[in-house]
Amino acid sequence: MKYTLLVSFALVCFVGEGLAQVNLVAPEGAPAFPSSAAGISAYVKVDRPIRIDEALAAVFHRIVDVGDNYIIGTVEVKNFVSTVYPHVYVDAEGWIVAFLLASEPAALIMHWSGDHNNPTPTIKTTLEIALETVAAVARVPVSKPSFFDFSNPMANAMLILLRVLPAPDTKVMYVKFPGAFEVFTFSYFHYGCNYDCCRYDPDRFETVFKFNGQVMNRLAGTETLSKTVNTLPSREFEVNKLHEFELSYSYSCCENGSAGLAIVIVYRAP
Amino acid sequence: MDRDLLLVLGLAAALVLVALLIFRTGQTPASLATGKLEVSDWDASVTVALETVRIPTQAKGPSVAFVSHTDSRTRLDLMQAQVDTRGASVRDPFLSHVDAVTRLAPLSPPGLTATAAGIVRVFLSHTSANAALTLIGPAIGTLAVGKKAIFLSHVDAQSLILLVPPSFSE
Repeated sequence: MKYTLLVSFALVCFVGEGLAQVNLVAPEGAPAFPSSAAGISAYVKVDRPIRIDEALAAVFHRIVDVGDNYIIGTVEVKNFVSTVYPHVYVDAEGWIVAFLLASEPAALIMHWSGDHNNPTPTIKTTLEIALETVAAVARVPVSKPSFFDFSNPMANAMLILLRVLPAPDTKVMYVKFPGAFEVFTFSYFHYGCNYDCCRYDPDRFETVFKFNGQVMNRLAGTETLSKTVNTLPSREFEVNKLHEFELSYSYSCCENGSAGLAIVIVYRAP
Repeated sequence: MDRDLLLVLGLAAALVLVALLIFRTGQTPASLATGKLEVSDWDASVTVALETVRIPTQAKGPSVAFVSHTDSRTRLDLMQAQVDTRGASVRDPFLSHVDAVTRLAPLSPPGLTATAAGIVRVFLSHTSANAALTLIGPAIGTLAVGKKAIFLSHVDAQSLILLVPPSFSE
């Protein structure tokens, strides 16, 4: 008799991040870290064992999987532009890996510093913050993490570029990769905002990001913050060519906002 | 004489090549030779080295009941007498951020020891009030063998997960 195994799930009002997501659960005996699902990652190996216990579990916004010797979950990282949820893997042998999923734009690693009226041109990554948050709860000191892109294992470098406009302006920036370089992914994080300005005449802002003269993203709104995080085809970023990035920001009333553009390029240098 | 002419022609050809290179790429031969990344007019830029790594740790199966952030009146209804016997193969009930009146009652009699053999992990996270996980007996063993993990996260009120009896499977 042909023995068919069939399990049907009836999920009524199932809301949130659940079963339909990328499978990060490791079968027993398999590698605990989900390297096939991971993208850009920040990692450390501490020289002491880490206890996988309830106190550690509490640091996670959502727990994806837990075993005797490892735990994987998402950690909430907030800044004035967005709240992102990098995954963090911790195991008893001392590995801590904060990672974006391979399906997520690498530009999500941009952690915006300052506030909506005074953005700070400082580059810090959401992965470092997630990793430091978990390490603090695990009570293990961590050094500066190393980085790796599990979805592009041939890549050996990542370039992060940042431009902020705390006031209406238009700025043009340039990047050129030598011909021997190979670009794997090219993504951007673009935001614009304006708040609490004119009491009886709500303020409207607009910010435009152009790449080589072409509008890639336009954000506009009233008394709000808008953002776009996206991956562009790597073929858009030819090597041995000077690429022009333009960021503009304007508003209709008084000043209480800003715009910003972060570019993340994962590549291989010879 | 012929040798000098060849030399002059060779030099001229080299100069033409260099001029063509500059015209096509906008770079001087020197900058091409250095192979440097050019970045200008940004507020900040960082180049991060990507270093290959392999995380060697192998997953060890969960073996403990793990209850995290369980609120008052939360009830983990793995009745003691039954957990040890009937629930022997349910190795990892894990509840996190479970709200009031949530109830996990997968081990209701009769006979889950035999039927739940393939289920090694039941994991509920952020389960809200009135959520229920019902593993319907007594036929689960035949149906759910090989289903290694049931994972619910952020399940809202009245969510329901059912492992249906055999009559639905054929």
